[in-house]
Amino acid sequence: MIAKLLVANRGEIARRVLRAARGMGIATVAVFSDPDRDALFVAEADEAVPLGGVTPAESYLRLDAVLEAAERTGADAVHPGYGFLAENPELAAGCRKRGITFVGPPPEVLAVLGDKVEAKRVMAAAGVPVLPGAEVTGLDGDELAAAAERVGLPVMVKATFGGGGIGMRVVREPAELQAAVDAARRQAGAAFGDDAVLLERFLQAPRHVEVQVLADAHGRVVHLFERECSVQRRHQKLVEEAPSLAVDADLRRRLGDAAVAAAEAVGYVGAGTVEFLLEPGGSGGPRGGPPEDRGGGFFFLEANARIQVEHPVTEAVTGLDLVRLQLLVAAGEPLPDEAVRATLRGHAVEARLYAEDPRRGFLPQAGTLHRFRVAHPGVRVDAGVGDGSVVGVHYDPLLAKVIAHAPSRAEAAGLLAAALAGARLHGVTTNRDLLVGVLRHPAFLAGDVDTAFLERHPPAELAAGQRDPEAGRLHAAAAALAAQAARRAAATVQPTIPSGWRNNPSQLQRVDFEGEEGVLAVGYRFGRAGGLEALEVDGEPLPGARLWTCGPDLVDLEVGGVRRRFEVHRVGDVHYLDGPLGHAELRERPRFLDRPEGSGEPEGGSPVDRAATAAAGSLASPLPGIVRRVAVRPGELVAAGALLVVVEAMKLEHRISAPTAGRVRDVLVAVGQEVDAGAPVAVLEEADDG
Amino acid sequence: MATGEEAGDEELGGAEMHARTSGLADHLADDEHDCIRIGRRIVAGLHWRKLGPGATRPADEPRYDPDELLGLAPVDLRVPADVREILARVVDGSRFEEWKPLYGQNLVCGWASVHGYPVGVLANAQGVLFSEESNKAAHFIQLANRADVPLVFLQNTTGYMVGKAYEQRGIIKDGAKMINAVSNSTVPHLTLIVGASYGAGGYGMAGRAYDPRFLFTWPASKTAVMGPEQLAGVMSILNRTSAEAAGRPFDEDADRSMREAVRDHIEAESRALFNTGLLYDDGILDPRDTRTALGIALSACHSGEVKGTGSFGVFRM
Repeated sequence: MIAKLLVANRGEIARRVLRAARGMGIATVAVFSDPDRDALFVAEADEAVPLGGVTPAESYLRLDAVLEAAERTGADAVHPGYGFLAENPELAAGCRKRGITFVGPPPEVLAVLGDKVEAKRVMAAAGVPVLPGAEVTGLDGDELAAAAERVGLPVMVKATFGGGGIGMRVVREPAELQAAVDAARRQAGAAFGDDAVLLERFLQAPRHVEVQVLADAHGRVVHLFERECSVQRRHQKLVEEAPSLAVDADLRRRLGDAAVAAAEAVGYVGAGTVEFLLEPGGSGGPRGGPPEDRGGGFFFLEANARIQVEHPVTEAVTGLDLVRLQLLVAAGEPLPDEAVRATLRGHAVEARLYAEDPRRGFLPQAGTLHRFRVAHPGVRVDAGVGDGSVVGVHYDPLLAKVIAHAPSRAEAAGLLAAALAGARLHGVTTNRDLLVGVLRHPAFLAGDVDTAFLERHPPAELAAGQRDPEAGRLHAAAAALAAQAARRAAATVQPTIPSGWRNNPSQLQRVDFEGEEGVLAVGYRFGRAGGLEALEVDGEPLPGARLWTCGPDLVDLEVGGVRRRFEVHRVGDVHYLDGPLGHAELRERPRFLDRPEGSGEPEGGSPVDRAATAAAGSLASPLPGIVRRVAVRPGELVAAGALLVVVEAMKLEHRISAPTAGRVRDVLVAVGQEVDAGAPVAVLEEADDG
Repeated sequence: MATGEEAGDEELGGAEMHARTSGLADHLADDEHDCIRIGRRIVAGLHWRKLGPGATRPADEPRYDPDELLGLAPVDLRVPADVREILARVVDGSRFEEWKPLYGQNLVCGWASVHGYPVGVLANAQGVLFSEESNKAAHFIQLANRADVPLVFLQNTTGYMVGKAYEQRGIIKDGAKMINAVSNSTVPHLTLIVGASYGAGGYGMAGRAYDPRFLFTWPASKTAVMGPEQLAGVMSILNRTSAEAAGRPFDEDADRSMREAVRDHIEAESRALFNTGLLYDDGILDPRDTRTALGIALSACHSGEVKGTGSFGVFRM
């Protein structure tokens, strides 16, 4: 048995492996980079070894450092998780050399499977159906075009080594080929240190089905049914499920047999995944194409010699713990009975929660997750983060996987959507709304899913969902009321006096919020007995407003005859709301504009006026001296605070900076020029484009 | 002008000049909003703190509905109001520990708290103060000073008792004890005129002239040195006596219209709205706001030290 396991990974998968190890009484070691010093997986391991560095290349990809960490801590096994070094044969070989158990297949198997061209060749030889393709490393121009023609357009360009969709591109026209191959080479080189690329026939909107296999060191190979990973974006999986709707019992048997054959062909050991592309139209027979197409409508795509991100859906429908089985197999144990006799039970759906903004081109998001709570009965959450976690830009923006298991697909999808919709995700923008939009979309529920789902249904529309038109107003009202309660609760004087009490009430209490729907101005008044007497947003009363309870964190508000509970969480001037109408992030506008004294105009004065005042005032030399530096040119746009001119006087340098953002209309001095105190040095005006 | 110098408004005394050149101004605000912003910042940095002990008791709501104060507020001042019912709708948890309940019963004295601030209460149960009530008040005010507890005066008084028997029993001497105690007391006084505030009773119960920290009125209350009827009557007696002494005939018709005029005049000028217009009070309260207003006032009182006195001078015996 393994006594001490080093987990050579980070985030949710590191925590997942640690959990399995703890459950088996195995001591644990984490390795971590500098940005991960406060990460949950580091705290949860018994011991941790700093790798230093920031980027993956400086940290988690450092083979020698990982192996040294294992030796230093006396770990007798290394689990690589997925990504990073998971499929690097050198780690497996390095472990073997040091007498450390590598939780994964032997280096020889990794070498074969990691070379996609070689893997395909082996699979084809073993009778597994494969897609036509060609290795194009070193090919250019006409040779490249000829290779593409042999494969047949459209083709997919992809890195020979590595995975995760990095560098993948679809080429439909011969003219696009060279650029796509060059780009793929660059990306592959940067990501995996090897720029080998290959072309492969691209199937329009194929279904993506993968089969989980499990092999022990005694030659026993079983499959644990299929997963479907059909909703993707840029070839990154988003929603995964098991079993696949496109697979009937017969196809399941054929897919399983093919996967077992594939694993046997390479002498696989451990948990792995064999990916197949399923032609649209389901499990029909072969439809023309080059002679390599021999399967029943499915093609071997690649084999992943690691635990998959989406392994929990298989665990849900089989009731197995795949990481535990990995550790057992790595320790030389034969596959246990429950794995050999696994059966399918119900349906499981997994959604990947990413720190990225689907409404803005899936831009990765960074920041502090002030709150991270995904808690719903019957839903599994594999998260790498928790309350207060800092999400950086250096690694994959996957925050968590959320998995629902239910007797039927519709129930599982509904449960998962509800869990995500109700999750408390504060501080970092996520793809949660998109996931909920997908899971509740009629096309998804009807099983009309393939890898092009997000092309047919634009992510921005899915993410927008069906919002109650009153949600914004109610959220703003609830935020104002909760903030009021928080101020009362924090009052050090007169804490029991009714909120906002006036002897002669006239104006409402007012607060303005900025949210997705623009500025919302809330007005409210409490009566002498503490009851809500008036509640309006943008001057419009909320009909029948009645406050059942109102605390700093919870507002139970009835409007229009419907009572709803809103959870409110404040961080600085940002109010996060969660409730039956969804979630909102509202920024409270300051009551008073903070600005430097003497900066000029009354609130609401035009920027032109301010710039003009500034030109007359602050942009003058503060004392007589010599111009040492002119940092701007006329016409240049500058931000507030930008350095304009440096004047040296009395042996000191005086920086003259822009009091507001704007355009430099004029520079009135030159370097070396003597200036008098109060002499204007530059004139700033309002920028044309605001 | 004085020196013949010619100067513009701004260069002579403008905000910009004083903020930038003379240094007279500490801050230069762009407008009213900016001024408030700067003011708030200054106040936030004042290191202000309350000197009083602050609220020390549970500040639970009264157990009786304060809305009912509207029905308890005296309207016809000839009908006594039940001050215990009023207190039950003002003080914390409707708790009132009455002191000397069986003696001088026209004046209710006792201990309570409002928004957690302990108070001693003196309240007119019946409008007239006799010797017993005066002595009781003088005694109670001394106790509150020993305990450093603020006093709340609930006024509904028509004054100290008059008449031969009472004068002979020493009502002036006893009233003087009460006035002496009120005058020398140093704990904060809060006065609430719920009904009548007439005559010397209004002074003895910490009326405006006796400088309570705050004085509030209820809308239907009346404040005057004498009641309209009484003043008209006294005027009439004086006129009649003067006519008789001079041997003039007394004009009954003129007397009647004089009495009406005096009565109407005093009636009008004793109203709460008239008095608040003269700033005799610190505001007319909706009776339902009484508890809140007293709480804020007590909080303000506790900004300073709350300290009673032991030196009341000489009580007339």
